[in-house]
Amino acid sequence: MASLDRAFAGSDVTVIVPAYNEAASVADTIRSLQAQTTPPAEIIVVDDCSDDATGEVARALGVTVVRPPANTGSKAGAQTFGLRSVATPLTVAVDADTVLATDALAHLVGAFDGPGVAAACGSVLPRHVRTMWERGRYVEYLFAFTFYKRLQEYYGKPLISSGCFSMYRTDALRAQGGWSDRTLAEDMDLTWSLYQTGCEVHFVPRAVCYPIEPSCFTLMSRQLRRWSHGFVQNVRLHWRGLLGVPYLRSAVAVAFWDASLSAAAYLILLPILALLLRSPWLLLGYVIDAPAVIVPVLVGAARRREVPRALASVPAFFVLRTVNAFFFIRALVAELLLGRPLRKYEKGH
Amino acid sequence: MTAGIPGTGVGGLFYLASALALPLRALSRRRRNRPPGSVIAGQVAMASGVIAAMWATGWLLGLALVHARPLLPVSLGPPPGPVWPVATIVAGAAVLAAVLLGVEVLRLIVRDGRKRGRTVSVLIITAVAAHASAARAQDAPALTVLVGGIRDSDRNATLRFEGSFEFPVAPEVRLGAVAGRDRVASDGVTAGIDRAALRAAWRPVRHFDLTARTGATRLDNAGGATVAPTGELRLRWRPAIDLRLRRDVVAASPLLVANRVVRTEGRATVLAPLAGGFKLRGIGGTAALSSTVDVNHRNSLGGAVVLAVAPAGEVSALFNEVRFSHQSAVGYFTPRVVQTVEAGTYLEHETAGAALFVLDCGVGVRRMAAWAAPLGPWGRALRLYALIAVPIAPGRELRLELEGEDSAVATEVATAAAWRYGSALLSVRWGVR
Repeated sequence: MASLDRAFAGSDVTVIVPAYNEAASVADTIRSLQAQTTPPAEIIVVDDCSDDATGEVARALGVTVVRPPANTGSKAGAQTFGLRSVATPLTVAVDADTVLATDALAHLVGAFDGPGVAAACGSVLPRHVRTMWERGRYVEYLFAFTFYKRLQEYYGKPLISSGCFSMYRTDALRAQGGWSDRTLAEDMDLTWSLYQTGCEVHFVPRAVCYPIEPSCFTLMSRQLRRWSHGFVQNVRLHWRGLLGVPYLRSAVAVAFWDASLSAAAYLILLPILALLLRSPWLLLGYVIDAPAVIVPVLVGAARRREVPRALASVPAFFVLRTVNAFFFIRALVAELLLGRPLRKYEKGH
Repeated sequence: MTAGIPGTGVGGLFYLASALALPLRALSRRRRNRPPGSVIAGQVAMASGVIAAMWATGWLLGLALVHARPLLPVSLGPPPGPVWPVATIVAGAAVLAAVLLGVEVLRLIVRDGRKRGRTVSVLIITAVAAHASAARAQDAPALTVLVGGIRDSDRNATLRFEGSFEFPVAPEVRLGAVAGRDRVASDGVTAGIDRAALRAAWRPVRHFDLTARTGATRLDNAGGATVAPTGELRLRWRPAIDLRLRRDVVAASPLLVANRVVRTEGRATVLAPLAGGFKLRGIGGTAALSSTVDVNHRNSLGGAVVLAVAPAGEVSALFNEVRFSHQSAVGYFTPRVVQTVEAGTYLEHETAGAALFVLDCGVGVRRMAAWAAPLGPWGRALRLYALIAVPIAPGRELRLELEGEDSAVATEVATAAAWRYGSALLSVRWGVR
């Protein structure tokens, strides 16, 4: 890292931690930031008018705590409020329920090796892998960050710089007006906006973070609702601009197709066909790609020496995928057909 | 977040294709911009593993279904044979191509009016002349005179004379007329072909044009003379779509003229982005070859991976298959199936003085299966097309087109299997100022 650190170092980094009623988890986040091999110059916790002791917990750990005059209503709002206090060339956003591997910041700093790099993100893995929902998400992340996201990086267009942990060039971030709350997926909105201005975004697999993922259906449904509506909102907002971004336009089109028509086929067409044709074999379609999914998952798990855990979690992935399809269809119908966009930001955990 | 449903649908195919294209993409990039070889190898190996897993799934599923069939009630029986998995993969690939193509068409529609960088991607070889003339679009009326000769390995020789006139009736519409005569001879037997047609071209935007031609061709030989209606309708949305319907006389030899062979053909070419600078070209066509003896059908299907190597150049890897519905003895070669694998190069260069040079060549192998016989050994398949267009005054130019082919098997209508062919056409376009 030495050669890269000549360009940027930990002293060039400020971390913003947006927090609303995160007293139970923010301490772990702060401690993991303080334990970085490349410690940041400053950690700013934005206490978004929490009802609990989030601010006190953060202050007790010696970090800067800022508090907007009123609740901003979204993570994007809290992060943008915190951006006002940033005085370093690089800004990191970390969710208040997320801890980082000790070398995560050092790896992300290394990605800013050119003036065109505006953002960098790392791998994401659930901190806890216990319930069915956490296991499903664990396999989904292993698959996505081992296979899809690396390919996106090789083609120069990671689809999203993950909201739970990303580093940005502060100037580029400010030029965008910070994080916008015009959609419910502020990370996707920001990433796609950066691409449209010609900026580069990178994915650094070795920079790993561990958020707390929804552990029950209630929390998962809130998160999936927010993500699916956010995706549709971003496609609607950016589709014209994305047409000028090679590879990304194809990746988004394919993702939108899978999220819409493939999901509809998955949820509706497959069971109807099975009934009409009286052939239950068609229901194998729900899991027919299991071996294909397992290959990247096992590769990712083997690197982490977590193969048994991954194998035990695979069935949960198919449950989560089906639920995921349902939420995407619902979001599409609400956003595009019924004209009922989701505006209220609900925490997923 | 993860958009879409990982592992299913066209997304999986898209990323598989992206992974498999990584080595080619790396070759096309400068060394310092390439990801490490081990990284590429890792992703390609993973993609190969995914494909192997998919294949194994299909194989095991088929095996399980075959063994389960006797145990199941008829109404609960599995789908027959490998139809289901094969159809699923083909449909998935088709949907992916359609989605990617849809994005490109949308991009063309949305961004057509904006100035874009120079990107030349030529759809098919037969579009070269039109492309070249499009690049030199001139509004004035113009007269073109053409003379040329064609000779093949069957000792057929054709001498061609042609004249055409075109004029604008609106900024985006041109009308014209063409007339010509071919004299084809072989071993002392001759036949005459007289052609006349009206042409129209509509080009509302830069990358879209619709052309139409309607007319008739008179076939004249020792057996008498007949007239066959001919025509063409062609829609091009460059570089993504080329659709062509045409009806023409096949007159490569006196025997074909005597048997009144007429080809009615539909052909489609689509170009979709694959990954990085790579594009996928799909070519499909079906033709009815009618004669005084029979009606035969020829179906062709092919695909090519295309990589733009320069603003006006590309390299491609192509696979193509042609099938005839039955054997015919009216004078053209009709194997049961012909397969071609070819590496192609297209280069175009325009000088500061507006002279245009085009080179399109292919080197490959081809094999065929005769009726009731398996596919034979691979043989050579070479082709070359060159165009030189030199301006001699504003709106006036001299054009020389050279074309040659040397193949173990002919895929276009031809009179023998082993096929060598050469043609040279010289024309002068004279803009009327």
